[in-house]
Order: sequence, then C-alpha cells, then structure tokens
Amino acid sequence: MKATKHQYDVLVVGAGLAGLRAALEVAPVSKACVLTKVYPSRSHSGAAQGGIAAALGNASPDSLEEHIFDTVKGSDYLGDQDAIEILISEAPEIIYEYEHFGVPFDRMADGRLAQRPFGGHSRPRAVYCMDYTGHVLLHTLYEQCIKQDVKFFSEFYTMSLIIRDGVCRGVVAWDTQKGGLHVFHAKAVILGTGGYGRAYKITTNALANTGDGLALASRAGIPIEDIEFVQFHPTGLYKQGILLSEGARGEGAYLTNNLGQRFMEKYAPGKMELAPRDVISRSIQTEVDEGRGINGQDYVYLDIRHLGEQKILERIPQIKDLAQKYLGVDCVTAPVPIQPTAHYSMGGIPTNNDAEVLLDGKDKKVIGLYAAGECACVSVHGGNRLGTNSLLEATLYGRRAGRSAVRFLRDEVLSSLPEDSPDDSQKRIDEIWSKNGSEMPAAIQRELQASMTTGCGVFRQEEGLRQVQEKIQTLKERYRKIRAIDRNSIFNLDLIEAIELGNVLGFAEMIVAGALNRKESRGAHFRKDFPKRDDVNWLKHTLVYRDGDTLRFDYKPVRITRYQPQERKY
Amino acid sequence: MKAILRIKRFDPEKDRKAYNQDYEIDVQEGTTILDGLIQVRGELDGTLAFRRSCRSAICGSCSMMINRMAGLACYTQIQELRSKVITLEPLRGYQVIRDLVVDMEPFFAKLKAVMPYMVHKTPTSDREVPQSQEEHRLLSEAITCILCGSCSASCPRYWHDENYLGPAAILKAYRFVVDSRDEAEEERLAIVNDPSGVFRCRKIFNCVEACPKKINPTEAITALSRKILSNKF
Amino acid sequence: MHKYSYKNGGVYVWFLQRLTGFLLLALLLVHMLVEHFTLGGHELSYELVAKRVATPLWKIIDSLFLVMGTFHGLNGVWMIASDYIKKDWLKVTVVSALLCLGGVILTLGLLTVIPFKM
Repeated sequence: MKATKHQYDVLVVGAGLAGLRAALEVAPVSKACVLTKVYPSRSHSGAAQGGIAAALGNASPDSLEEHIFDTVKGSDYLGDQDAIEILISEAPEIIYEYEHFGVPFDRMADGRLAQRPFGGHSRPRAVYCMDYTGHVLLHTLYEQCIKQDVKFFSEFYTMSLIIRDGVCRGVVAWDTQKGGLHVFHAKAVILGTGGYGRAYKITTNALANTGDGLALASRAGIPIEDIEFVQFHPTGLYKQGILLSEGARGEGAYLTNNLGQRFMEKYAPGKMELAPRDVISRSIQTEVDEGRGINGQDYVYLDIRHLGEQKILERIPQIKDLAQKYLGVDCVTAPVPIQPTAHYSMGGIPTNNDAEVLLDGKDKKVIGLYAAGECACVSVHGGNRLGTNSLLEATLYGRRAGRSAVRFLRDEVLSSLPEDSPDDSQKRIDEIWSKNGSEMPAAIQRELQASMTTGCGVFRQEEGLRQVQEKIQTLKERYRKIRAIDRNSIFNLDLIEAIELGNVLGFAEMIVAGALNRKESRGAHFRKDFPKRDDVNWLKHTLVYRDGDTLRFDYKPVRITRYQPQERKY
Repeated sequence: MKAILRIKRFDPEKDRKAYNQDYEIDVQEGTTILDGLIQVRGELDGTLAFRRSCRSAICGSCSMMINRMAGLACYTQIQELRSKVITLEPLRGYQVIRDLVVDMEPFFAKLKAVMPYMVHKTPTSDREVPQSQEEHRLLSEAITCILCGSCSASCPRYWHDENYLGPAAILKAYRFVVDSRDEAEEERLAIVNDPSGVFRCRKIFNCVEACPKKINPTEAITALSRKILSNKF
Repeated sequence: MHKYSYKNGGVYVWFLQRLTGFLLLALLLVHMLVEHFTLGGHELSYELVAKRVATPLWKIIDSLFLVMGTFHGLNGVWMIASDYIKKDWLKVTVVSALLCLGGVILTLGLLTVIPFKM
C-alpha cells in the first residue's frame, strides 16, 4: 500500500481543548491542520462538567497567591511551582478569552461570571456553565476553529511520530474512514492526545482515551513523566464509573456511608466534601474496606436531596439525567450510589513551560515537537490535580504550545523527510493482520482493566502490584497471539482496537512499574506499605523510558520557588 | 436474559447490498445498546463497525436508528425498549460508510454554513461582556446540543431535501441569535431564511422526540421563523 | 468536500402560502354569502350568475380567486410531494409539470373570466 503524502507547517494531533486551542494559535499564520481519531466535537474534554478555575474573585475575595498555594498543596508539593505560577497568573485572561469566544458561562445577578466552590480550592473560583462546562468549552473552541477555517482530518488515527536526529518532521496516520496510510510532513507537531484512563475497569474516561500520545512518544524514545500518578475521582456512578461532577459537592452535596454519617468529618474536618480528590477517594475506599459501604457493598452515597429540585435542575441537570438513566435513581428524592473511578492522568510527556517536549525529560528538546493537556506533564498537577485546573491547563498550555510553534516557524525551514522508508506503521498493520491466534483482544482488555483496578487503584502495595505486573506480562504474551478477523480497510475498528490495546498494555506496564518504584505515598499514589510522604528520597519526578521490552527509570528534581513542602492536611 | 440485536450490515468492500444479521447477547439490568454492541464486537463478530466514545451521552458518536427511531446507543437501555428483537440501522438520511457508520460530512458542512460562532462587532473590553441571568437562561437548553445528528436523522425533510439545513444547524443559529452578546443576528437570519432553511420545517416534532438531550429544536426553528417574519413584514 | 451556501428569501413563498390561504378563506366566505344568502327568494339560475360575473368588480374578484387558488393548491401539492421526492431529476420534472399545469389552469381560467359577456 502506498502512503498518501501531505505537507503542512504545523500538525496538531488531537482535537480536545489543548489541540483546538493550539490550532487557533497556529492556523491564522501558517498552513496548519488538526488530526483527530474521532470528530472535534466528540473529544473527551467535552465530558468535563464542573468548571474551570481562575481567581477572579467574583463570588468572594480571592487572589492569585491563594490559587497558587492551593494548587501546590493539592499537588502534594510535586508540582513544578514556576509552571503553576504561569498557569494561575494567566488563568483570568484565559477565562475572559473564552467568554469573548462565546462560552455561555453562568452569571451572577450583576451580570458578571458566577463562580462555585470546588475540592481543594480555598475560595469559590470555578467558573462554570451548569454541569456542562467542558462541553461548552469544547464546542466553543470548535466554533472558533470553524471561524478560522481550520483544516480537520477527522477519524485519522496517528500511528507514529517521525523523529530523526532529534528533529520531529511529521507523523504517520491511518485514515479510518477510507483506509490507507498518510504521511504528514511538517515543521512542527503539537500533541494534545489526552489521558490514559482506559487501563482501568471503572473509569470516567471515554473508550477512545487509550493514551495514544504516550505510546507515540515512548516509541520515539521520549520518557514519560510521573506516570504512576493516576487520579481517582471520588464520585463515579456505581459500576459504570461515569463522572458525576465535583460541582455537585461544590453546590453542597454530602457523602454518606451505610450508617448515614457524613464520613468526611473523620478524614478532612476542615474541608469535608470539598477536600481534594485523592483524599476523598481514599476516604471512600477506607469506608468500603472497613465495611461501611452501603449494604456492605463497594459503594457509598452522594446525597444531593437537600439542594432541592430547582437548584439541581438549574445547576447540575446532567448529573440528574445520568443518575436517572444509568442507575434509575432520581437524585431529587434518593441518594446516588457512587464509587471512586479512574479519572485523570497527572503524568505524561515531559515538557517545559513553553510546552516543548523534552527528549531526556530535563532540558534537551525534541526540535519541533510540542505537547499540551492531559497527555503532557509540565508538571502543574504534581501528585494530584485539583478539580477545574485541568480545563485551565489544557487551554493555557495548548495556547502556549501554539505560540511556541509559531515562534519556531519564523526561522525554521522544513527539514526533509527521511529518505529511508521512514516508518514501520505499515509493518505494524501487516503484523496485526497476519495474526491468526486464538486470543480475543476484548478479553485481554477486560482482564487487564480488572487487574489494574484491584491491584493498582486507590490503594497500592507491593504484593498487589507484583501480581498486576505478572498479569500484564502474561497478557502481553497473549496479545502476541490475538486474532485479527477484519482485513478490510474501510472503518476497520478491529485494527484500531488492536493497536490501542497494544498502547494500553504498554502504559499499564509503566504505571505499575512506576507505582512499584515509588516507595512513598504522595498525592494520588498511596502505598499501604509506605504510607508516609518521603521528601528526602522522593521529592522528585519519575521518568520512565521504554527500551523494547524493558523499562528504565530516571529522575528529575521538582522546581520549588515559593512554597517549601509541609505536611498536607485538610 | 437474552436479546437479539438485528443489525443492518454493509461492507462496501464485500457487499453489494445491505443485509440484516442477528446476534444474541446477554442482557442485565442497565445494559445499554452500546454495551450490547461492544459485546457483539468483543465476543461474536469483530468485523462489526460502529462509532462510540464517551458512553455517557455527551460525545454524540453512537447515534443510530434503534427500532427505527434515531437515538444514542449509549443512552438507550435494552430493557426499556421492551422488545426481544431490536433492529439497529445506520442513521437515516446519511450515506452509509460501513455497517452502522455514516458519513457525517454533510451534517457538519451544514453546521458550518450558519456562522456557528460568536461575532462581536464592537470591540470587547478585557473583562467579560455582561449578561443577565435571564438572558443566560435563554441559552441553557440549546447549548447542551452534542451534535449527534439524531434530530436530522428523524426528519423527513432532511431525508429528502439534500439542502435542508436540518434541526441541529438551525438550533446552532438560534443559540447565537438569542445570545445577548452576539452581534450578527441579521446575517444569521438571512442564512436560515433560505428556501432550504427554517421555512422548510414541517413542524412534525420528530426531532424533539429523537433528541437525547431533550432539546426542542422545533421551538427554536419556529422562534427564528417568527423573528424573520416580524423583521420583514 | 461538501459546500452548502444559503441565501435570504425563503420566507416569501412560505408567507404567500399563508396569505393566500387566509384570503381564499375570506373570498370563499364572500362567495358563499353572495351565492346562497342574497338571492332574495329567487332560484339560482344561469342568468343571475352570468349577470353578476360580467361586471368588472366580479371579474377582478374571480381572477384573484383563480390566481390565488392555483398558487395555493399547486404550491401545496409541491410542498407535500417534496417530502417524498429525493432524486433531483424527479424534483425538476414534478416542478415543471406543476408549473405547466398552473399555466394551463390560469390561461383557461382567465380566458373564461376576463372576456365574459352576458
């Protein structure tokens, strides 16, 4: 099969908030396009519900300092403080820009933007639109892209980065709709490919969130930073894992156990239900483990009855709809069963504050390659992200990636495409198509997710992690013997899912290795066998390299500017 | 419990005509059509093609005809359909790419035609453009549209008039026309006043019934027609 | 790549359909009143009708009736038909046929109404 060739100045891979915001920066001044494996309006940024943070001080006095400190403390001091300062200082500008783009944020009586409280934030600073905030942000950015006439390649699945001599020269992508490989040759590539929640059985993540960007990077020899930090959202719909926004607790919802107690009293008396997510998820898990789950089962209640129907319909209508549809529970009259659910990947492709990807994770750049959003790790979220900071990060660092690429374009000539058959994508496809084993990819995926949820979830310990590690090794063996039934080129879901499964197995292995390696508890990473934070040995970022079948660790220091680590209490 | 999914299959590389294929699946309380489809793909037939992503009715990928009604596979529970055999077909009024996957390009191209973006003609300050809560409330329904295309797939005008804008695109125009901050009402009304625009709507409310987000596009269409009428006469 | 462009003016045909509908109703009422309730005890006869129809005022009224009825009827048929017709060539055919039919109806009708003498 012959690959179709395209030439652009800038390629954006991924069409969530980070990708679209980057595209808006580059499209007006260069020949740019966006590749997405779905459609732009279908990206998973749209599933974010509660809000986007900025210290506007509308609902109560607020300051940048407080927002910075909350974020640093939330990150359990693993966040890089210079990056956090950038994030918080530019946040108000990002919000007003969104408002001018047309985002229909909720308002206060005087016509200014309304703000609601959120977990881990000391002030109400989440700007929101009901519980559809991510959805309206995503659609608004898409609208702006239509206005700028941004070129989209929808349902193009990016298979590999073309990097030669430390210079990124494009990507190779598979056209899902028509079949066939396409080589996109470009001066700059921006990755905004999202997170890796699909390694877990109970997750808020979409079926498409298979961490493809991480696979692209680690195959190209780039390390992945802090991958062991996986955020578990406290309130996922029971059994489904579907997100019920923290906005509900921001509006005043309670969490109760089988005794009807608001159990957060015990764990975070100062913040109660508005403690950060890692704290609440652990509290829920502890309640469940100690037998105080509802009916002794593995869930507790999210109780919003006292808010009243009118407020629920006005502020959190989507939650009401989801609980009704998927659990048959009317949250106006009954509490909703919830459990912690894999939600967000703090780790990702290491970048500097200009969103430039770092080849050694520290200071050596990959020329012409940028990353932003959940797939990247700047790191502003450190060990645990605060709710509403992710939409902010994706947008802000998406914009920074776009601006860096524009600066880079000014004096860059197009590096030539490597002559030697540049890429192994065709080989990988042929290999999958030649597989005639007996293993069903879906079964491997299911077993992996179940194993990750039990062994590498909210609480971790050596023995459990070792079991998952072994499991993954056997699953990788089985993956080599999968059966690929579908050999057609048009909309071959079988092929894409097989590739995705390979990616998921790859980073699941990294998560577990990272979790085993980090012998302390920090943020979302909690080791029962090392329950204390260890700043002497572990106040540093992990970098995992993949060399074929083995993983290699490296570390880099955390950048601390204003706030020295102290005990984290809520 | 068991149920049968009767899926309309078509593979352009192999088939000359679409045909139905039955799959028996396990159903529990809460099993959605999407769960069923994933079961079919994972255990029975890996060649089945359909779109899916979020599984919580926010991305709009998995819209299809379910028992002849347009809707989201992830938002339809098998038990609530109360039928032993459930027919699944690609969205009506769209070109089929393969199995349950249709060509969405015309749908998005029509969306692009209505100036679907905020227009400020007077320069904005560096703060928010003020908006009252009442003005904001006018938007609260229309902005939840997820562009799944179910409304258009249930609209006979959309099936037969290739140019008809369709409920989703008109709803998008409406969303900006009623937004107190937008300043391109006239231009947008001129677009939806095309012979294939708002006046093509037959007010049969199929789109209202189909919408998984419980939006009323017919009302939006009527509101725009009224605005055009009162501006012209 | 699909490109759609939309232009102003869709309201006119829609509005005319409603306007003619309303006026046809009004004219029909006038017709009923004149024809059936103002005969003053006389039987309805050719002479009576012919005398009335030959006056200029009635020629105008009947012409209006004819024009609006034709437009309203044929446009209505097209509106319904267009719900079911998808093929372009068939659309063109049906519209042409309806236009021809309208032309014939109008010609024949006006030829009868305008030169009519007692």
